[in-house]
Amino acid sequence: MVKALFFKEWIKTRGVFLISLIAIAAVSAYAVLMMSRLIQLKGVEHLWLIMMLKDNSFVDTLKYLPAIAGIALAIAQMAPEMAQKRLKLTLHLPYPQNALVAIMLCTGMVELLVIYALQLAIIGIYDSTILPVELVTRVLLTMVPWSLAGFTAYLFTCSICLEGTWKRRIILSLIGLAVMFIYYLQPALEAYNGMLALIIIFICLTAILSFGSIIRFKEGRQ
Amino acid sequence: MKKAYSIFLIAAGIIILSWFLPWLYSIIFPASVNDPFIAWSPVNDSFIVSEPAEKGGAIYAVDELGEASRKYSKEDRDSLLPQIYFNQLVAHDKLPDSIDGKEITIPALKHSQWVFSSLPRDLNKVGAKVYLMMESMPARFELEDPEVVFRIKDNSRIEFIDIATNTVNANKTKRFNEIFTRNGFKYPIKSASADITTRKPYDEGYLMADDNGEIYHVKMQAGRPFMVKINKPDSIIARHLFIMEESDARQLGIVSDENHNMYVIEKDGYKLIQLPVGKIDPEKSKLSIVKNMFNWVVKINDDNATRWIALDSDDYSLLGQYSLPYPTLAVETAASYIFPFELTFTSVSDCVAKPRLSGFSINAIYLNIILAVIMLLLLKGRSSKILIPSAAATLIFGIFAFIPLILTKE
Repeated sequence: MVKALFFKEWIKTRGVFLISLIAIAAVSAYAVLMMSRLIQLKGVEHLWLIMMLKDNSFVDTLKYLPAIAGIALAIAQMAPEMAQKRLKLTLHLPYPQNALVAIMLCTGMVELLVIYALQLAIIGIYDSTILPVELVTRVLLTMVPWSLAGFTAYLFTCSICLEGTWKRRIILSLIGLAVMFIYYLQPALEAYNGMLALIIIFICLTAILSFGSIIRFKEGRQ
Repeated sequence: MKKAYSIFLIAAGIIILSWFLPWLYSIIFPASVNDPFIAWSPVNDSFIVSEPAEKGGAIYAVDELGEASRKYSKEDRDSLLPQIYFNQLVAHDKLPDSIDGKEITIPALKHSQWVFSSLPRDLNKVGAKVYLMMESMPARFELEDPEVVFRIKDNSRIEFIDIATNTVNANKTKRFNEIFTRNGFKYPIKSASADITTRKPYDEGYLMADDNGEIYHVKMQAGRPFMVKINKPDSIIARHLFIMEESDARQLGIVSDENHNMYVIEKDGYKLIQLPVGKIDPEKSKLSIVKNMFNWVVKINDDNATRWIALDSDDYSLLGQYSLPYPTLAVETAASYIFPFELTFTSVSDCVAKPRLSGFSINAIYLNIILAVIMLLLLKGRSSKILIPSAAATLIFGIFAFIPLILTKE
């Protein structure tokens, strides 16, 4: 049953997953290309100087992609459930409701994890060929909150899609929008280092919203 | 799960609103105060205050008690502050030949002036764990971009890396480690200050404080290490260091110690001299120094006031001080009656994102009580399990709880 449920979620999301994977790989490759071009034109010393004196990570083009991927994946996964009330059928499957929702969310989160890991790997592997480990870590730690923003965007979008009433959808959207804004408040490198544990706890708690939306849906709040 | 959903939704609403509403309020009703421009006159030995244009642009001197003693015109100010307005004075042929026995020429005035500033956000940020090192004695005399960086390896030794190859430079590493060991440097580095730019007259490398708060001058000359441990009393434990590479080449840097006292390091003999400027914590206060041939004007933006301190540029003795407490603005007072506290994630004092609560106000209790009563009336007839927590949350969190509770009351 679990395998079948994962497969059902995979069928819904595979298109957006592959597009997101290709898009993020392409933009990451573009960021690498830009760094490589700068090195060809002005030398690797110039890149180090800009990175250390101007606090430039050269990966700003990747900033909002994880969040966009998270939203797209959530819509691809949850919108079909709400279309023609297909969610009712899903909830009638002979499987515990909470475990069912958990499997749905896990599928999306794992797919996002793969996308974000690829992004971090492309930048990390290239940077480690031209930069010392301290600067590679600095760049990756700057990118991690963007990935966490992607998970948050995914979970909020899931809860909005699964919610049955427009009033509550708007409330969830406004809260989600404000939370997303917090991820991009401070542009300095490694600015969110001290907040990473708190963010991860918040993301775990955000999953509650989707479970709540399902309960409200079952109660007939539509 | 349903209970957890409701609690999380309302808690998220409270958190978001306690950040968003005060932020929105500050955007709609900005509360900023421009400091006047203040300089010390070597002509009449007093502070000359030039108010900003929005405050009428008055120019006046202040006496020792900080009271306005006499108003001046712009032309009077030019004569009182020749170290700043010398171009105006030259244009009107009014530049004096000398003041206080010091000959005044435009090159001498220009050569002896510099500005130093330190912002808390430059200190309170996560910095790179590698440090660029310039060559202080370049072969062709002109300063060049650094070709090496160093890092502290295993908290026990310094390691140099060639930028071009991203590999360890064993030769430099060995030489620098020897000199660091010889001088008794205690890792890790507590503070390191260098100005990495080729747009300066010369390079003095780094001022460094080790883990014990000892002060070192470190630079690379013709690829070889140069290191001096600066003599100081044991009672001074350095916290922050600021290198200075000014054209007059008299000072090497400024030091702030653990007790928030400020010192200047003179290049000649590495003398450490305390500045009579009171307590300054560079991690919290904005500090600026405007130096000219006659005096230093040190400006400190503290929590409650802006202070100006004038020092003699020859012996750093105190010439005068002036303080302006920050005014309490009407928009801030009004906010204290609306918001019981404020949540922020960023600050002008640092480059770090983290949740911080501030601006706790007891004045907001009146609004909180009114909102709690409204909440009780709106939820009339509901179970006490809903009624009491909702009213209590409104009483504590005020408007931040009232809005999400009303929006989700079904």
